[in-house]
Amino acid sequence: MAGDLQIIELRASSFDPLALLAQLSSSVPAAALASFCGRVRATGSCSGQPIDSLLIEHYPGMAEQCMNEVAQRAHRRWQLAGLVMIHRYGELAVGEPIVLTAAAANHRAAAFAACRMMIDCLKSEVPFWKREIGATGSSWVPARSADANAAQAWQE
Amino acid sequence: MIAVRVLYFASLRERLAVAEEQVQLAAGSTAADLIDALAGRNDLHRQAFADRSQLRIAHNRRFASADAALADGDEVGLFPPVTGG
Repeated sequence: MAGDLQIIELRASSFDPLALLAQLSSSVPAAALASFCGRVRATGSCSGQPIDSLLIEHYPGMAEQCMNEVAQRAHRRWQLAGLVMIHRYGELAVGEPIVLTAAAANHRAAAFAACRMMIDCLKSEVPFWKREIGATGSSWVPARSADANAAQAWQE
Repeated sequence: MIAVRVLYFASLRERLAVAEEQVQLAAGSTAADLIDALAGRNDLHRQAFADRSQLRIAHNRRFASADAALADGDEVGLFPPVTGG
């Protein structure tokens, strides 16, 4: 499809969300663009205590494959003109972008839905695990049933 | 017999203090049979596999259920529920 742009990337290094959105915007003339960027929270998800950094582990090979599958499902279902899906792994500082999802479509309903489906599914259907590192030690972030339900709701 | 490559991730990898193991199983074994065999290896493994409600299975890099049939040379990933995004 002319103007079709897909940027799907699992990466160790940091990225600039606005630069990627600019690339999507300039490459695709679609009327609606929606995006979500998740960043490292300053406090632990369970402890509420300040954290120093976040460590993200992934299953090499499988994580890329699952990301691609989620992106292709979104692309087909909402007939997207373009999409961006970026996810970091490794050690991240507080405030750094972890994940970016963006969708370009002809109408806002499709762009919002595709963007939300991609982030919901990244949380529960792609093999990533987060570990919070703080002054008093580190702990694995527990999975939340609300996240699993959100991803489940997008099953066709 | 079949040989299966098992990969552990996140808290399960830490608990077992190993990232990868090779396991020999009878032909026709399922993922559940593999986990039974792993749990029987030693006390550390028995404890780590005691609560299977929190265990997720990937068979050749796709999410799978415990009844997945394994073949020689397959890769099985075992890990806790994922927490990306």
